[in-house]
Amino acid sequence: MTKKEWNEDAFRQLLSQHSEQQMNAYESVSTTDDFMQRVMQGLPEEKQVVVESEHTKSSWLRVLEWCTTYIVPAVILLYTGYLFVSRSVLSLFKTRTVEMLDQGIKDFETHREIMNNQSYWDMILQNISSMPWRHIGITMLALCGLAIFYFYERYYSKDSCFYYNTECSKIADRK
Amino acid sequence: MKQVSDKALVEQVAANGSHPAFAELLRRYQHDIRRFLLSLTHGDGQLTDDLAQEAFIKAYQRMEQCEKGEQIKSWLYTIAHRCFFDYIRGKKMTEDIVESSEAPVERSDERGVSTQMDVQWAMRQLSQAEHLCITLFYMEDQPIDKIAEITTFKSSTIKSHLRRAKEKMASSLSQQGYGPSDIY
Repeated sequence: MTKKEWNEDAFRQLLSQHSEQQMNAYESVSTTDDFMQRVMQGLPEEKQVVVESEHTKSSWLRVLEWCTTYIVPAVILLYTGYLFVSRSVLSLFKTRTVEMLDQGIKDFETHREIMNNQSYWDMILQNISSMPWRHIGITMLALCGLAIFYFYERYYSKDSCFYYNTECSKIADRK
Repeated sequence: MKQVSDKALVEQVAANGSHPAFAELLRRYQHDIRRFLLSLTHGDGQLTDDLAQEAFIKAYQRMEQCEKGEQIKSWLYTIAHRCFFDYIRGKKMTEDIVESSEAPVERSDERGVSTQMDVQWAMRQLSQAEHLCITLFYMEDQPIDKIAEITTFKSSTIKSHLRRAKEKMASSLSQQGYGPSDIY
């Protein structure tokens, strides 16, 4: 066979036939099943992934989850911000301007005395110390309780669907 | 039963390492990958099994890197080729292959036994790059652009490898008395 006589299709056919025959001989020794078994045994374990199945989630848990995710942080932020601003920054502003006008000379004298004797930082710290910490503490405790309850329901309750994927699919099958 | 697409299977394996999904991919492509490696190893079954296993385990571990799930076959070829290349580099088998190609007389007993043996012998005369290109192009039916992805060779380089490989094989087979009619 010369280069000029070389036929592309014939060449392809020759090589593919050679390849398949070689493969057939090989697979008679090492079968597909044997090879698959060998590979599967060598695989690392499946990743354990938390699967959230919306249809198996109870409605109240969904509401609770929504509240915990959006409402509670928003309330905490707004309330804390309000307390801080109203008790410290605004009061400082008031001290210097509005209250001077509203409360008259007496207050003006009083505040002037404060201004003379205290730095702004002292005033801010004084105002912070007068914040309703008891209320804040109770609110925080209630929120912690809510969070603990939420995480218990999410991960440990029997009704929870936040199981590993295998467990979740079993639950879905049973339902 | 509707067959799950490659892309969906790849996504399942990438997401949570699903063994059943990977077993399905393995079932679909193990034949092609083993055939490819069997050709690269010149018919060494034991080595082929080892390399194919290594390639599939690497594929499993890096499935999230398979960006185009529908093109997993060429991605698997790439991994298999790298496994083979690493093996060659590690074992310094290059010298052995060169030695075997320089000693065709030793293969003379095998010649004439069957076409299989003659083709095998002719393929041993090729360089590694030529052998790789000819395996992917003619045996695995991969287009030039896919071969370029798998091997990281330029298209023009692949074409010249293919041309030279065909010339060498034609010459080797001609020396053994093969003509165009023998092929059909």
